[in-house]
This record gives sequence, structure tokens and C-alpha cells, in this order.
Amino acid sequence: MNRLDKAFAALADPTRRGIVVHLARGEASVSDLVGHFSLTQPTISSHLKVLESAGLISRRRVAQLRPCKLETEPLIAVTDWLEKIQEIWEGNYQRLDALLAELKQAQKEERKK
Amino acid sequence: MKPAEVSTPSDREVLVTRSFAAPVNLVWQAYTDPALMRRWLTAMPGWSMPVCEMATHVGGKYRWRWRHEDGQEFGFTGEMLEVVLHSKIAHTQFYDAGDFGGSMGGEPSIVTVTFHETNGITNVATLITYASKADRDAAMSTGMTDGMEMSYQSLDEVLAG
Repeated sequence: MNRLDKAFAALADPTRRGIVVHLARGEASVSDLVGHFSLTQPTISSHLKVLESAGLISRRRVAQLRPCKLETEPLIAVTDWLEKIQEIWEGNYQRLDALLAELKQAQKEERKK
Repeated sequence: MKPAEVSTPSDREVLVTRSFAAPVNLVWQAYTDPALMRRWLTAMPGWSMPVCEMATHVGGKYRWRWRHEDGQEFGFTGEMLEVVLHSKIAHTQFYDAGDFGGSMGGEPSIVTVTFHETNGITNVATLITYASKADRDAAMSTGMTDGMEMSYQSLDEVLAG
């Protein structure tokens, strides 16, 4: 799997997206996350493992704690792509809005005749 | 109307949804009449659509080609799999990189467009299903070729997806 692929797979899970959103506010320890999500430590740890292998988070060692930190680079790649697609489609759709307004007007005038 | 929403329902799909302030018969016309399609399906500034052939019946072929002011070209071709008047169009889609480059994988993707009208507002959902995850990734990197400004504001939306 390439990196973007891994990032998409990791973000396909709602709990992992929740963890990412939580970490966007700052670093957190496993026990912080266990408390916040009301999930068991093994469950949180396995989600963190997936996020870490996708490069979405990093963990450093501080005494016994291993605080988790959000890595934004793969997220930028994911959102970059979705935004680019959105931009292209929305550009088309705005032209379609204008065309449909014109067709509606033409239909109205046709009915008046 | 609210801007188009793009999501990834699975690892080989992309879904785009948008509503239009028009009844479904007019939206259908804009999606199936080549003369009308060319007026809005121009993709990006600087691009035009010199080829737009469209047969709207099952087994019918279509051929779309775009050209940039600087001469670059790319296109899509495929065959209609399902056509339900004012409701659904499904077709295969092959990417022809032309001299634009990039790849969307070797296998065709399947594009399913569904139309649904409520009180004069038509919702259009376009689901693109790639043959594999690898193909979707190839399509992704082609779509990313020209870089753009990243806005962190949309990060939460994507994550909340």
C-alpha cells in the first residue's frame, strides 16, 4: 500500500477519525484517549497502531508515557486530493446552475406562447 | 445551492453529491444532450470540450475529450450499462491520458449517476467505483497533478466525513 492509500484506510474508521480530531487539539496519552472515548486500552492501542503505521500520528517516549501527536502531512495529501476533486466538480456544477436557469426561463416562455 | 460534497464511501469509491434548482427533466437534458453537456462539462478554466459524443441507451458508446488552450488533451470513453429516464445512468469509463499524462488504472471504472427530484430541486449523486484500490490511487494522483493551496479549514469536514 502506498502512503495515501494507508491514510485513507486508516481514516475509514469513525473511532480513528475521532482520535485524529481529538489530537488536532494537542498531544494526548493513551489513558487520556481511553477516558475520552470510553473504550478499553487494548482497543485504543490497536487504533493508534493503525494511525501510526499510516504516518498520521507519532509517539514519543516521556518516562512511562508515550504521548500521541498528530502528523499533518498525510492529512494534507488526503484533503488536497478531495479538495481538488471538489473544486473541479463544483466548477462544472456552477456552470450547470447557470445553464439550468436558462433552460427554466426558456421553458417558461414556451408555456406563455 | 450548497457546494458539491465529495466523500470516499469505501477504499475504491468516490461519491459526489450536489443539488440543483431545476426539475429533473431539465437536469437530465443537461446531462444527456451533447450540445448542452459541452456548455458546462468543461472541467477547469482554460479547457474546452471539442469532442462530446453521447448515445443514451444501454450498450451505446460515448466519447468525451477535453483540450487545453496550450494544446494538451485527455478524454474518457465507455459504454452505457443502464439508462433509466430521469432517474439513473450507469456507464463504464476508460481514461485516455492523451498528452495530459497520468493514469486511472487499466481497468474501467463504473460511473453511476442517480437523479432525484423533490419539489423542483434535483439531487444528483455521482458514484465512481474503481476496479481496485490501486486504480483509485492512480486516479487520485492524476487528479492531484496541479498543486493547490491547502486550507486547514476543511480538515474537520473531511475528518468528520
